Amino acid sequence: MKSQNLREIDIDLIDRNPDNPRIIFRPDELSSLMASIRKHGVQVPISVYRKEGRYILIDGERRWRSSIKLNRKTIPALIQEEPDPLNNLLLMFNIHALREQWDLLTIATKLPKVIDLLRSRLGKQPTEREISEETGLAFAVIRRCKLLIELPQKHKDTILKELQKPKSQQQLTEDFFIEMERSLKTVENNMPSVVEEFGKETIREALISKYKAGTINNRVDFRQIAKIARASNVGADTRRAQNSLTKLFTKENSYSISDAFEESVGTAYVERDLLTTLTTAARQMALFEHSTLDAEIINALSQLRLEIDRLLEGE
Amino acid sequence: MPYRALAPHLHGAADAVLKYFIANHGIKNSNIVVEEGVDPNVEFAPTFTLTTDDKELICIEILENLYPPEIKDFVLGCKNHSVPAKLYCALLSEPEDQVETRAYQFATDNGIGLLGVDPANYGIRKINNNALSLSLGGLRTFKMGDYPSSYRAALQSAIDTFKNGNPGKGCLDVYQEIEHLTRRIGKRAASISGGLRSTASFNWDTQAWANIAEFLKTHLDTTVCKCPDLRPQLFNRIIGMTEYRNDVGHKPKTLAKRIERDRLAKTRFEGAMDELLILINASKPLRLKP
Repeated sequence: MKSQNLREIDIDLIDRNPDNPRIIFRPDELSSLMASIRKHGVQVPISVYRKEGRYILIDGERRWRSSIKLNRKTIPALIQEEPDPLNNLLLMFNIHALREQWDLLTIATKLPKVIDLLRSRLGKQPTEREISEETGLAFAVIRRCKLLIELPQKHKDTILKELQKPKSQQQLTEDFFIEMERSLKTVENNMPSVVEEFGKETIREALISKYKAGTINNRVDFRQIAKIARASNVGADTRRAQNSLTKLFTKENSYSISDAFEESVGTAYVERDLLTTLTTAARQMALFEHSTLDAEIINALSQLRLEIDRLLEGE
Repeated sequence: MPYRALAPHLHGAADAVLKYFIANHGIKNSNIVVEEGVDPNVEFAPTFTLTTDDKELICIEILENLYPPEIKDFVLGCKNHSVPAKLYCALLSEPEDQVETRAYQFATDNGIGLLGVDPANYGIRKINNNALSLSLGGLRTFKMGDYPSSYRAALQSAIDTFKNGNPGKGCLDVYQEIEHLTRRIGKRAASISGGLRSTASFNWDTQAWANIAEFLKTHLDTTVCKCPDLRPQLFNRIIGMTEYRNDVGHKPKTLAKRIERDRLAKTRFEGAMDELLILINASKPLRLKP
């Protein structure tokens, strides 16, 4: 910003910024802010720019809303010069990305506009690094946003409705959809025929329905769907894995992600983990001499030998 | 409606509630303000403030949860500054949702009206529609046990009348109790030999209340009557009260006048209740029959 000055301005002369990505204002959160403002006043000035005799918010919409509710007539504000459309958006992204946790959907909604404006400025499609540098958002956040952007509108509406609830009451959260979408992308890449058979939206509906019914009770379980889809990586039977996914993606049953995982690839992943552990252990053991081992390790190795003998003799 | 502070997901419910109030109270559009304070001293701007023809304010707040701290502060602010606001809280909740007992009690205790708004179709239902003017609700709590049982029902009724929006009538009811007691004191003193220092004949039933108090102030012999606390100062205070006796008041023409009227009514009501108790206790040695 070239110049800015601090003034106490009339609260009624301020308008919200239509480009503010924040669209959720939870009443319980505003209530806490109001309590603080009532006690200490607005300690951090809001940021605005002047336009046609009024002021447009750049930063501080919650403080402005709380001050209106508290019947305040003025609010301290830093008055800046009017930014161009891209800078207007980027300012808000940077202010919030650095200072507070925004709901991802609010970022996701505005991100396409940022990308469009960046494309015009750079004359090419911006890379993730360029988006990250301009917005202050981490790569991971940008990727998660992209998953939300690609969701059908009705699911975005569902998330929006959930976001309006206090956090403790939210069920179909952004994280739920992100985990689900990630796993479906893996299925699409590794077993495209399964997705083609049902259609992606039908699969989403089935999984949402099972989540609501409690058949799926942890959104992290979606990661197991990705593991099933990558059955070939662990040498598991891919036909069986496909059958399990088909059964899982059918709405009318109580077949859970854990059921599908155990029936198809569970053992294969345990075996792979065991192999990795044993290979690593063997490599590390090669570095020791008998004389350097303490009693504790000797005891652990003796127990391991008993298990190894049991397994090999059984063979 | 152009909301600035209300969360966007509550806009639909707010519109429905406003329509409901307009339909039920016949409020003109020019008498509706959105998200503005009711008084510079009260740190809260309800979602809507409607002004009735009687210059009474109907404040409506749209809520998801009962009660955020700012509602309690608003209630206290209105009571402290005699703001004649009736508060309704419209709660976004499924019809089968139960209002938490403590929250319901808070509404009842403070005369707050409660409405439920169905989030599915914005249907409005009344949960507790007994909103009282907060300026009058700030009346001090009286220990009814201090008053003889024969007074309690009438006094409780006077308090209810006052809080229900008729402060003048509430005051009048208490004044009538004081007047009735003053007349009985006169009659009783007259029946005691030497209880009055004057032999002039006096009609205790028809004389003006002020004249009776004036007469007792001058002629009551507290030693003979064995009631030392019925001092002239007490009768002086009663005489001062008699001029308000019929001052039930007309409808205030402006909000400022209404605030002034309610503030005055509160002071008078509390003063009258206190004086009645003093008079009851001071006249106890006379053993008046109820």
